[in-house]
Amino acid sequence: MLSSKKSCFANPFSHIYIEHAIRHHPTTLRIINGLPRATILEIASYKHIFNRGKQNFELQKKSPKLILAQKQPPFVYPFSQNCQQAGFKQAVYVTPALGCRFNCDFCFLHGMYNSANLVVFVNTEDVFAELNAILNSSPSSPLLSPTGDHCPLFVSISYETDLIALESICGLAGDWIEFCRQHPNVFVECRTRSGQIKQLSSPPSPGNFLLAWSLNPDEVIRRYEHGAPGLEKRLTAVDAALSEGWPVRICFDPILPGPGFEKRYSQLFETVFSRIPADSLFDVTAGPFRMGKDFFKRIRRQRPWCDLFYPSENVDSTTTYSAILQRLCDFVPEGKLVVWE
Amino acid sequence: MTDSRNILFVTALPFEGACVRRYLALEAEQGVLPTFSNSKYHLVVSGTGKARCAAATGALCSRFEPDAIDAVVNIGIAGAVSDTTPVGSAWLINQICDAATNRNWYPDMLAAHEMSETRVTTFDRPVTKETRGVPETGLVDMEASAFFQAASLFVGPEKIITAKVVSDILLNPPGIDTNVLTQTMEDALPIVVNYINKVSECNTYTRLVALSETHMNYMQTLCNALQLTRTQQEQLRQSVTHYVQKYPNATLPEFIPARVMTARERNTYFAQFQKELLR
Repeated sequence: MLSSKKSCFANPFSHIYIEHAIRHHPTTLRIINGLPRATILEIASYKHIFNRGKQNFELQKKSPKLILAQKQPPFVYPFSQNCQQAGFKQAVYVTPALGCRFNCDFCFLHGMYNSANLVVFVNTEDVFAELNAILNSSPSSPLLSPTGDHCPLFVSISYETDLIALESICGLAGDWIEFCRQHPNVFVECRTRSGQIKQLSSPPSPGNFLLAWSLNPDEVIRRYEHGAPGLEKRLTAVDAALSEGWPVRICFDPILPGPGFEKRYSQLFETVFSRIPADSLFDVTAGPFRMGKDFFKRIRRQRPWCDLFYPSENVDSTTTYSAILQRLCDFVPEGKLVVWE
Repeated sequence: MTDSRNILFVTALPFEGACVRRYLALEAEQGVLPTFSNSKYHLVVSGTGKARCAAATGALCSRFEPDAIDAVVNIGIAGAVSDTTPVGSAWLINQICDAATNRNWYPDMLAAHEMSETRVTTFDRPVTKETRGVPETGLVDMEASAFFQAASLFVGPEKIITAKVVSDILLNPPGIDTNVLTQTMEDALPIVVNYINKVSECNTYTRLVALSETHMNYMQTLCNALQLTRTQQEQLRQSVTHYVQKYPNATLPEFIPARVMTARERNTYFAQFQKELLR
C-alpha cells in the first residue's frame, strides 16, 4: 500500500470492504477491477465499518476507504418538506451511495454519519425495480399525486453523495443515465461539485437527466469546500455539459454568510452569467446555509475551527442573504429562478 | 485535549515484552502489572489470554487522557493457518475475529506502509488444524479481540494497531524455540515501529489545535469565578476551543473577574464574554 505523494496517508480507497452477499455482483467486479491494487476484505454488513464509534472523520477524509454493500429496502424515499422539489409534484430520492469525496465544512453529512468512508450500494437494479413499480402503480400510491401519471417522477440521486465525483470509480451515474433513456417519465437530478463529466456516457444525452452544479465564489470554495474543484473547473464542466446537450441546473446553495460576502457573490454571478447565459440553463436555484439543529450541534463540536458554526453578531446573515438574492434576480429571469425561502 | 504523543504497547508473553523493552529502552515501573516506560513509549505485559489482555490494556490506557494517546499497539506471536505463511514473517492485522462470538473488528488502515496485511482469529485456548472453527486463512492468537475491544473504550480505530509475528503453523512443529522467536520479534520491531510512527504522523494532520494547560486554567478560573452552570461550562469550552482554532497564537480575551451576585448578573456577564470570544 503506497502513500500519496506528499503524505504519510495511504492512497484513497487503498482498502475495499465488500459485503459477502454482493461479492460477485457485476458492479462489485467492475469497481474492484478499476482498483486492482486495493486490499479487499469481506464483511458481513457495511454497518460494521461505517457505524463504528469514535471514528476520526477528519483523518479518514485523508485516506477514505470504499465499502461495497447491498442496499436493503426501502430503496426509494419520499422527499422531506425541507427539500426543494423544483416544481415537480412527485419527488423522491434514492441513496446509491453514502458519503462524499469532498470535505465541505457546511455539509450535513458530517453531522449525519460517523464515518468519512464511502458506502456504495451496488444493487442498483433493486432501486430501478422499485421505481418501476412506483411508475406503474395506481395513483393511490403514497408517492404519487392523484394526477401522478401526467407529471414525471422527480428522482434525486445525489442527495447523500456526489455521484459524478465518484463516477470514475463506481460508474453508477452511467446506470442512471441508461435508466433515464428507457424511462422518459422520470426526471433525475444529480447534484455535483465535480469538474469532470468526461466519464459520463456519450451523446445523445437524455433530456431527463439533470446535471446540477453547486457553485460558490472561489474564496468560499478554498475556505470551506476542501478537496472540491475550483470555480473555473466547474464552469468548464458546465460549459461542456451544455454543449453536449445535458440539461443543467446551477445551484447557489448554500449561500454562506460572511463579512464582504455580498460583494463576492455579486462578482460570482457576474462571472457565471457572463459566460453562461441563464436562458441556456434548466433553472437556477438559491438557498441559504441551513441545517437541522442536531446536525448543527454535532458538527459544531467536531469542527471548532469552522466559523459557520460559531456565528458572530457582526455578520447579519439574513440581510446579507436577501441582498445577494436581490442581486441574483438581476441576472436570472423570474421563471428560471427557484429560491429557497 | 493535550499533546498526543504517548504510544502504548501490550504484549502477552514476557519474552515479547523483553524485546519491546530492549528496542525502545524502557525502564521498569512499580505496580501490580509488569509495566515499563520512557517519556513516549509505555509497555504492559499482560499474560496469556483474553481476560488478562483486556484488563492490562484497560489499566495502561486509563493512565492517560485519551487525547494524549497516539497509538495502542498489540504486538506478539501468532500461529499461521496456511503452510505457505513463512515462520518469522511480520503481519499487520486489518481484521480481528473472535472465534467464540464470531464478531469482527476492523482497525482503520489510514497510514501508508509496506507490511503485509492479514486477519487474525482469537481463540480462548491453543488450537491445532483439527480444532473446530479454525479459519482457512490468516493467523490465530489468544488476545487480539480482547485487546481491540478494550482499547476501543479509550481511542478510535485509527489508533489501534495489531501486529503479529508468525511463530508456527498451528503448533507444527510443537515446542517453540524462544531464542528463535526473540530473533524474529527483534527483526520485526523496527518495521512495526516505523508503521506506528506513520500512524503518529497521520494523527498530526487533524486540523484541531490542542488546548494547552493555560487554556484549561483560564476556563477553570472563569467557571469558578462566575459559578457557571454545566451548560454554560460546555458553551465556554466550545467557544474557547473555537477561539483557539481561529487564532492559534493569540492569547484569550482578558478576563476581569466581575462581582456577580445573582444568576441574572452571571448570565449577562457570561453572554458578554461569549460575544467577545466569538467576535
